[in-house]
Amino acid sequence: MLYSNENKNFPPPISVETVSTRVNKTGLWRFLTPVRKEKISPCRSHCPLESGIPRWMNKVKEGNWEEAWQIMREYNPFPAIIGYVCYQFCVEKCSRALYDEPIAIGEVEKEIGLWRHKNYEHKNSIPEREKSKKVVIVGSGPAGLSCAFYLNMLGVSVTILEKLPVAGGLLATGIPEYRLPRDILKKELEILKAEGIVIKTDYEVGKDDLPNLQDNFDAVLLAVGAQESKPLRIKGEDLSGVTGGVEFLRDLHLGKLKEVEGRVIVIGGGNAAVDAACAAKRNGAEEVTLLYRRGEEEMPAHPHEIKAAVEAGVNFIFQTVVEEIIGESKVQKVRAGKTALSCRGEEINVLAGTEFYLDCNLIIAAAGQESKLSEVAPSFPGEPLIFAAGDAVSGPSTVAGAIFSGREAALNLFSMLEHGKESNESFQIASPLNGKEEIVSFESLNSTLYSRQKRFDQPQEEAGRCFNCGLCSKCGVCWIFCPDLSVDGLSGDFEFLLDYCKGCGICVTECPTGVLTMEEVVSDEA
Amino acid sequence: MFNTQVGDFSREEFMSSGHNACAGCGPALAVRFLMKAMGPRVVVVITASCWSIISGVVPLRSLETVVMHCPFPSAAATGSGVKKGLEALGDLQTQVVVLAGDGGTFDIGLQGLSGAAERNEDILFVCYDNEAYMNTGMQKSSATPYGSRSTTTPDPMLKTNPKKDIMKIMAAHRIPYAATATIAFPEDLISKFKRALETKGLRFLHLFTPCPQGWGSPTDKTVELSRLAVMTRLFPLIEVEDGEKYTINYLPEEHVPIEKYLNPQRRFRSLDQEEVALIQEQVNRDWEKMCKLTAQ
Ligand SMILES: Cc1cc2nc3c(=O)[nH]c(=O)nc-3n(C[C@H](O)[C@H](O)[C@H](O)COP(=O)(O)OP(=O)(O)OC[C@H]3O[C@@H](n4cnc5c(N)ncnc54)[C@H](O)[C@@H]3O)c2cc1C
Ligand SMILES: Cc1ncc(C[n+]2csc(CCOP(=O)(O)OP(=O)(O)O)c2C)c(N)n1
Ligand code: SF4
Ligand SMILES: [Mg+2]
Repeated sequence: MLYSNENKNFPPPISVETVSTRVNKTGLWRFLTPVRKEKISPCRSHCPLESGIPRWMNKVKEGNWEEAWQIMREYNPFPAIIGYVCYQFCVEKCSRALYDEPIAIGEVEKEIGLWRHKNYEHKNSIPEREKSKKVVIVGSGPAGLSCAFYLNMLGVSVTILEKLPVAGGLLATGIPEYRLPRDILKKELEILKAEGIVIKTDYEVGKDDLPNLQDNFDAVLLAVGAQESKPLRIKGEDLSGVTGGVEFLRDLHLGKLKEVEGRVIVIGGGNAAVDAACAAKRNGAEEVTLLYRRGEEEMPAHPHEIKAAVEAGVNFIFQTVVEEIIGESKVQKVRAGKTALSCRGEEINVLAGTEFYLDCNLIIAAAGQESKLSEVAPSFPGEPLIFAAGDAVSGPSTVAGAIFSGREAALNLFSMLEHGKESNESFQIASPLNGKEEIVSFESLNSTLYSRQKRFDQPQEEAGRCFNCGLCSKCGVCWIFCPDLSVDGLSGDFEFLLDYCKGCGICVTECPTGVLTMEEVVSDEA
Repeated sequence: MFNTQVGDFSREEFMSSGHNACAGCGPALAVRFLMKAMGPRVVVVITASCWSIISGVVPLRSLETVVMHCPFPSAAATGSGVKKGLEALGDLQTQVVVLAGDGGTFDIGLQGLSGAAERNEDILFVCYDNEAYMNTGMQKSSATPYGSRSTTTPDPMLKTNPKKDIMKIMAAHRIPYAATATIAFPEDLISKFKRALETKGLRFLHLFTPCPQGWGSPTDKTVELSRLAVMTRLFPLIEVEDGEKYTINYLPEEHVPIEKYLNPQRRFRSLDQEEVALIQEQVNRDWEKMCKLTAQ
């Protein structure tokens, strides 16, 4: 380049050194070596799905929705659903919150799901191959559906049995429609069926059916949820006009209950209680009062939900327990008492002389749920090819938690059924984290490279705000700022050229995502 | 989606690895950017400085172009002569870039630079400012800031005079283009190099280039310090056209206190709170003055 013949005037007639400094292996000066090692983002560490958020954000940023979905499904096959219903623990930990405003993670996730819905072609996306193993899944909630999705992808034939006339578990009969539009669930079920999964509704599995299922299938997954509202264990509980939270919502969603009348008392402080209260109000109740036995701060329901309920006109009375339900054949009122302030886990103390009465026509007991798992499968756990997942094992949790549990179950089932057999290479399923991974701190990022910028409405722009914590986003900042030209800018992977790297550490300090660290590396040459 | 600090650059390099700059050297990075902007068709005149060494000792070279070394005070004069020589040979295209440290610019090279500026020689004079005579072991220069330790202003006799305002001196020569730039803002820096190359006459670039060796700062903080110098408003990124038209190219979003910049550097270690407050006041005053200049 220097001595090109094109410019006959150049170089001018002076002597020029001809040996490049590249003969100097300045890498020998180095004490510490930059190492690119992916770390866990704080959002991921708090996501029940352990979703690789920075990875798919990066693809959305590029406008590559197809690849964003391919990455998404390693963690979560139902991003549209999660985008609607998840409480978004990830957002609480988003590093961007320490800079300007956290990323609208759920919104971007929802868009990936909606993209998938729009672009799903009704042809099997799984490579045709002989399905030699058959698994039956009892329960079509998010745990069952997630396990079905992954097993089906892994080449296992899947049948789901659901006792209700509709599939979806609490997605269909618990979560109110204004929080999860049912056409989203419908579309998801449609895709699963198109992918070859069989879903049989109105099919209740009793304990006597289990041996039969074991004969006809290679393995059984019990994903029956935790849908029995816990009894209150107080006098008058058997009166007509007393129901459970999950049962009440289920009846409403299935159309068994058309309208609610009069005064309603809801007992409990979780999401089910708050949802039931809102649903009662929306469906015609004159007055809805929620009684919670501890103070407001202790309420396990999500703050957003509580706010929505207050807006819907639900009355909240805290530090109150119902001690007796009173009525002839039908409830008429409750006797309640005030309690001393207490934290969750502590005992409840009813204060003497605080007794009062509240009139009501309907009581919804939503103070916890239990699973019927042991009734359906008395022998569980114990038999090798019977698995369980979701709320049935964990107790009431979240949709994300249930999907994660289904994913894990699929991995375990598959390795049990087909041990040694390679899984389908064309896609990956995320393995669970071990909790020992390094989580990227805000301090290890280089946020100064970003302007302060609040949320965008447009998902691609919003994804562009993501710091990509702990993930190399191939931005090239390490390459730009290297005084020693020791980062390969041509390959696109920005590999370190350790022959020349003097170990100054500028790349590590400047890296916006915290994916680089300086380490003592013992090389053979040294 | 970074802000304007980092741009989209050509991957082509005209500087080689293996050069002898210390680890984390700011001037080395600055010249890497300079070469990216200029390409190979250029004669670089280098005066006595760290860069005399970084460009390679015989028979090595780290710059993929023609380099001419010259005596310490003569940088601008040598550059002017080389340009005239090229023109005499019929080469009107090749650019001449003079590369000098702060010592070679603010102090010993100043008369030569002033002469060349007055004659409006067609050269690009680049001063990389590491705020002392680093190559010979950190003696103070007139670019060394108030309160800095150096081997000629050792603790406790820290430098008591403020840094010379070289941009005003150059503006007073009414040269067509003068600008400041620093390595933490490569997009700004490269666009200024390009702008300078498109301008005829004497162009002057003042580059702020932290030197971890001399400043006693961690080698990984070179770019960070350069960024902090801009963010604290200590080193405004500006352009001056024809000695009159001032533009500030980057307005820091918020007020970053000067301590953030001073604290990581050992050369400022002995400053007490009062002195730091004085420095902060000076920075504020200078910034206000600069804003007034741009408003005109
Ligand atoms: C009112 C309410 C609102 C909620 N809102 C949210 C929310 O907004 N966000 C969130 O993340 N989480 C929410 N949750 C929690 C979440 O819905 C559950 O954690 C999740 O649905 C559990 O999934 P699962 O698959 O384990 O069980 P489920 O969703 O309960 O599904 C179990 C399925 O198994 C079927 N089944 C049970 N027994 C049998 C049998 N013997 N034979 C055949 N089928 C059987 C049931 O009919 C049901 O369809 C809410 C829960 C409630 C109650
Ligand atoms: C006339 C003359 N005096 C002194 C020197 C010794 N000398 C070589 S480099 C240098 C320091 C240059 O300082 P500066 O211009 O700031 O560049 P830096 O080394 O900091 O890069 C000195 C004093 C010299 N080469 N010639
Ligand atoms: S002394 Fe400073 S300017 Fe000179 S080579 Fe070392 S780091 Fe660079
Ligand atoms: Mg110097």
